[in-house]
Amino acid sequence: MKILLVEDEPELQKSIKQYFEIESNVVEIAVDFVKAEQKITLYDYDCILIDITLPNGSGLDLIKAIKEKKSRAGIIIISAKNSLDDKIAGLDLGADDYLPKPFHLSELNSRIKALIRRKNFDGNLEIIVNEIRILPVERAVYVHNNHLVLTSKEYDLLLYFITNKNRVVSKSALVEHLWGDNADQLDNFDFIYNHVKNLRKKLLEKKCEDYLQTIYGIGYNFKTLE
Amino acid sequence: MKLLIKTSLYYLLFSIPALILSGFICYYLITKEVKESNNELLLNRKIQIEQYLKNDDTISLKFIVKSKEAQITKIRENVLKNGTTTLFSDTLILDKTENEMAPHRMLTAVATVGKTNYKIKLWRGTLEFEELIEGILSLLFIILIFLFLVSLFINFWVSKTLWKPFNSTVNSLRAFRASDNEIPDFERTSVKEFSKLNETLAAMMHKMIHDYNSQKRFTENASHEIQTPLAVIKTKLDLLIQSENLTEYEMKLISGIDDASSKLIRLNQSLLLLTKIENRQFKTTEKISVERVIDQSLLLFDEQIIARKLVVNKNIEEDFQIDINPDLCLILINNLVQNAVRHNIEGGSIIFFIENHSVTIYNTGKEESLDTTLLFERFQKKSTSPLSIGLGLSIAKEIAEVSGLILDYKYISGRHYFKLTAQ
Repeated sequence: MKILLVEDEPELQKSIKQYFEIESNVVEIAVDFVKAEQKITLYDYDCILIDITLPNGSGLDLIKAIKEKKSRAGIIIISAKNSLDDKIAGLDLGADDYLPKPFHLSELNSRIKALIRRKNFDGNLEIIVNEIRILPVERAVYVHNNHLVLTSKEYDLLLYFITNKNRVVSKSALVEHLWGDNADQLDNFDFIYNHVKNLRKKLLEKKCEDYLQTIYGIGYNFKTLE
Repeated sequence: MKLLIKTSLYYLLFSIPALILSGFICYYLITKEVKESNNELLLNRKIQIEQYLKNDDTISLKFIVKSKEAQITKIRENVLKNGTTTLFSDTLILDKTENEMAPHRMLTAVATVGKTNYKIKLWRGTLEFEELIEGILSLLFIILIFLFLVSLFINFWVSKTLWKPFNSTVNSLRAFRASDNEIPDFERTSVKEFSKLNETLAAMMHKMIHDYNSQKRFTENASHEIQTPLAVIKTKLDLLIQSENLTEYEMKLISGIDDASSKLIRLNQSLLLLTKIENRQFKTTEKISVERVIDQSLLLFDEQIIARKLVVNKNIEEDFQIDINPDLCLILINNLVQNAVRHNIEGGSIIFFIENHSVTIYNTGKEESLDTTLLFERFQKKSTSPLSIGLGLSIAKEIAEVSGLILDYKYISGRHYFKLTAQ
């Protein structure tokens, strides 16, 4: 997967590049409006991550340029402003998602993968990890072809783990993913623990291998590789 | 009371003593004039009678006496009792036509024709005192009514035309909001005071809009500047936890940093939210059903409610509808519900009571009243919970204020209650 990151903060560039290049993705970086525009005209990308406030230009104008090029690339706005006006303007111009800074890299990964699924397979896709099969459109899960009944939160957790498989996902990232804007009810930490416990129990009951590793005090790793 | 009504009332109030004074002056002048003209008339008549006496014109004399307005008698002295030859006096004489005593002006004079002294008495009916007073009073009354009508008309006309620019200025002031970024077009006026007022107001509004915008810019910039390093910290932590072979000690350190940075992020976002609410950047409002928002909010806290075995009760007398920004409404209710859940006791209860114009949230909790003076202040958290950042209730209060709601707290026999009332 080829990703273009339009972002002027060097440390953030490094983080995102490092995180995504693990899965043999290509991450190219444009530090300002002009460089981003050049790259968009020259190359094709699967996904473009755009910061709204850029040196010498607005990310919103960049979205316009991408759309004029009839590019099939998915667009995710990553903005520090978290302003409703920008969000509406960006989505109106054709951006696919809006992720306010600061975000967890696992959340960005989950958004990118969901976007690619929607774009490339119109959502008609199965996610298969060994014995686990997920149908995102129906929100259904099969283990060894047996239907696994999950609560809504357990399903979201499983999908999030599988999207970020073989990576450590922090508890705070899980809380933010499950509770969204209302994640500030951080009493939710204990509930994450319960949900994960139940999910693991249900998976084991269906004779699924125990992929979930607890990383002490930090979070979890859904490990499918040895 | 309108300024115009007030001025015309003062005007009428002061015109009453003025009218009374002018009544006295009128009375004095009229009686004086009448007296003088009567005196002159009587003197003329006396001269005429003297002439008749000299000419011994008995026919004319008889005619005069018959008119019942003169009396001629012969006397010995050639002067009157007080030593003069003419004397004016006021007297009452029976008026035969009206059959009552009427005031008259009388001239008593002595005329000497040859050797004979005549005493001539002449009188003439004069104005009756009551009639005069009555006339003057009714005249004054008519003037008063007339003045009142005139002032009413002036009022109406003046407020219609003269005060029109002022009223339109007040209306544009009422609609003015710095966040709209627009200085209203004041009505042009030839009245110097009004145009001066409009100029001053326009300058003031210009300053307000400028200040508002620079504050807003500052808020946005501060947010941007703080969020970016926070984003760096967060992503670096995400990378750091990927490393294999972390010791338990290192994991504890990372976990501590993660918690602190999460708290910092929430703090920054809450402060930003407060600034945005204060700046009234949430302008669009909708009619929102409080009951539905409460249901939505309860869903969010479902797990905590079950885990702490809380009993939730909803009593709905009538749904409470408010005109409010939908996002703010959800934050407001969420914060209140969160408060009721977080500060509750195991197995406690939360009761919602929804009425036509208010919603009350009762909850069990610590058995003492909260400090009402500090309750809604920022960072005045009472709870020992490390998760609470002490801004929830200040945000709730701020939202209530900008949305025309009143948020009250009371503690009654073991129950804390927060009440939202429409203004």
